[in-house]
Amino acid sequence: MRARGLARSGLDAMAAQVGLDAAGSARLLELAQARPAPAEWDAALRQFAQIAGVLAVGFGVVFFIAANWAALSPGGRLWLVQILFAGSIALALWRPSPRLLGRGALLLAFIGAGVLFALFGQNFQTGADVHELFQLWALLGLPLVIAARWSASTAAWLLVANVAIALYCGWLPGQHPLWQALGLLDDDAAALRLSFGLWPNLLLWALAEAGAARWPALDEAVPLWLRRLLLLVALAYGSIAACWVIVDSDGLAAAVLPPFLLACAGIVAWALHRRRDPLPLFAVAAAAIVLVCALLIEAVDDEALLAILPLWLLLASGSTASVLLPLARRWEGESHDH
Amino acid sequence: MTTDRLQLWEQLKLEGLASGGLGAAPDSSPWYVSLMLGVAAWVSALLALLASVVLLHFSVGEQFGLMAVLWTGSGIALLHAARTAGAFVAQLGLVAVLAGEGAAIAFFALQTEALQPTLLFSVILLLALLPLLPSATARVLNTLGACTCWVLLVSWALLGEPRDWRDAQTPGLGLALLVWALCWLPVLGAALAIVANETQWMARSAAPLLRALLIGLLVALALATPLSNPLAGLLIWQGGAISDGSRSWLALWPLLSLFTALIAAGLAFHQRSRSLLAVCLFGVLLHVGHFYLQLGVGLLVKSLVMLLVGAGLLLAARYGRRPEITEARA
Repeated sequence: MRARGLARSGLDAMAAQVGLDAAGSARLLELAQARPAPAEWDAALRQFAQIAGVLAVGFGVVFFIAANWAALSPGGRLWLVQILFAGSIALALWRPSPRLLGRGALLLAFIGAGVLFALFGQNFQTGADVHELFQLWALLGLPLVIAARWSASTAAWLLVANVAIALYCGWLPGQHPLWQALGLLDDDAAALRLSFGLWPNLLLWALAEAGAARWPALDEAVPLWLRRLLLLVALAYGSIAACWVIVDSDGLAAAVLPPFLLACAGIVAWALHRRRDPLPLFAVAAAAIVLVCALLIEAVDDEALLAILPLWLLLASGSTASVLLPLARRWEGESHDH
Repeated sequence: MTTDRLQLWEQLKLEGLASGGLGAAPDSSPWYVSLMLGVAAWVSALLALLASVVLLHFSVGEQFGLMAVLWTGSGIALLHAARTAGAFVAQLGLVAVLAGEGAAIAFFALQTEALQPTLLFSVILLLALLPLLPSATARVLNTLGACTCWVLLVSWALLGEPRDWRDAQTPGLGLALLVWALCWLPVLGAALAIVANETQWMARSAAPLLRALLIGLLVALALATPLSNPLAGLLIWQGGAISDGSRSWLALWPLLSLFTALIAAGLAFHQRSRSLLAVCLFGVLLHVGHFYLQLGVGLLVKSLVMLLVGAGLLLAARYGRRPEITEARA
């Protein structure tokens, strides 16, 4: 019997109720399978070694090229990375996903693809900006990630995609035509540009949430922890931009706040509709608490702020807990992981 | 009450280990709720302390002493009352306890005007309050705070305060290892002892305390480098490798911390806590990055080390013992 998600505190309470001795407690842990079996240890260690090994080799090659930059010819550098890339692809074809070797090889190929794009841009002076490199990497690396159907690869892809988004929205990429067309090149529009980072992450979260229940392969590639991370990143973009326009009021609040609030309302509606994962409700509540803090900082003078701010944090977090915690306990049942 | 709980209880009854009806499951909060409440309470408490200095013009020890007694006492009472009164009262109690602890530390600091005795007092205070606090979040925060103060106390006592480090001669290998061991081996030993003796204490009344203590210790072990050397740990880009040819053995700290974070990850896996495992793996990444920046060798050597380590790990993954998943025993 595997007592799914049974919290350790629940097992403690059971043991205490009947006053189990050490042998009885050990039997309880064994019956609940609360400790990993040797086979699980082996599997976890192999997976850890695989991911860590792939990352170490990938970055090792990058640093090796950087260390020998002057010694290697431009062609030599390209050949070195192309060999790594082609070798990884060959390995993935020989032992395709979902085998661990194939998945690791595809992750290595994804890292290699990014290095290849960077070297290409460096050698041939394409004039591409850094954000374009990351955009290209995310776009062209997507087939490798889809082929891997592995959370580690998806996490790497999301990291690259979000670096591209952060560079594009958060850091002014010269006179980019899109920002020019929208009239958002001005420094004052920085918060509005940053707020756009919310949408791709939110869209990916919604798609993954909707699809994960239907397609197990998608759930495997974008598991719950990654979907939660996507949502938190989306809310982080929105919250930072919203706080920015509140504190540094420059007339853009009307363009940033309503879409963000709309997005928050959508997240809450989705979570209440699904009644599975309470984290989105808490994340939106946390964003609201931070937003009101920004409003208080802007509206109240310094001395009064020192009295009001801790009071607000206490009231808001306490109220959130008392309203949402029963809901969370009901939805999560006994699957609390702590 | 889930079917799994009931099934487990029935199995215990079948084996003669239990009798009667199963009691209600204890209330527990998901990790992200505890995190949100803990962060909000911590910031609230800090701001409340600041407000008492700025608005109430607290400046002498006695004022902080009175505040410490009142707030800590009322906070503990509120946390006890929260068992029936709900989450809001629990949060109120948590803020009051944290602010009270801060006031007590401020009181001691103003009395002694010395950093290291204040750190020692903080360790003793935070650990002494653990059994009195009925909240898991408060216990985890206290454990984390006590570990941080302990590490700062030992490292600053033996190496001097960080502001003097730049001018002082860097410690030798023996001293660097000794300081790290004094800082972190007690924490690691405590975590290992709690896990190793789990079956001895899980039926006892101390179980909730030990569970919270274990979480605090594992988080501390995972984030050992920034906790043991906050300035270098958090501002790793400023730490840098020694470029004048001299050698700082303090660069070994992140490597040693990497191993403790890996052990902490193993313990988190053993406890089947995914959230703790995530914190520990984040810590592992942090330590690798920190060690990479601290290691005063050329990029070529670093790249070769990474390639060798990577190849070794891949070989271990490929030819290591294959898992043979055997189905449930019961």
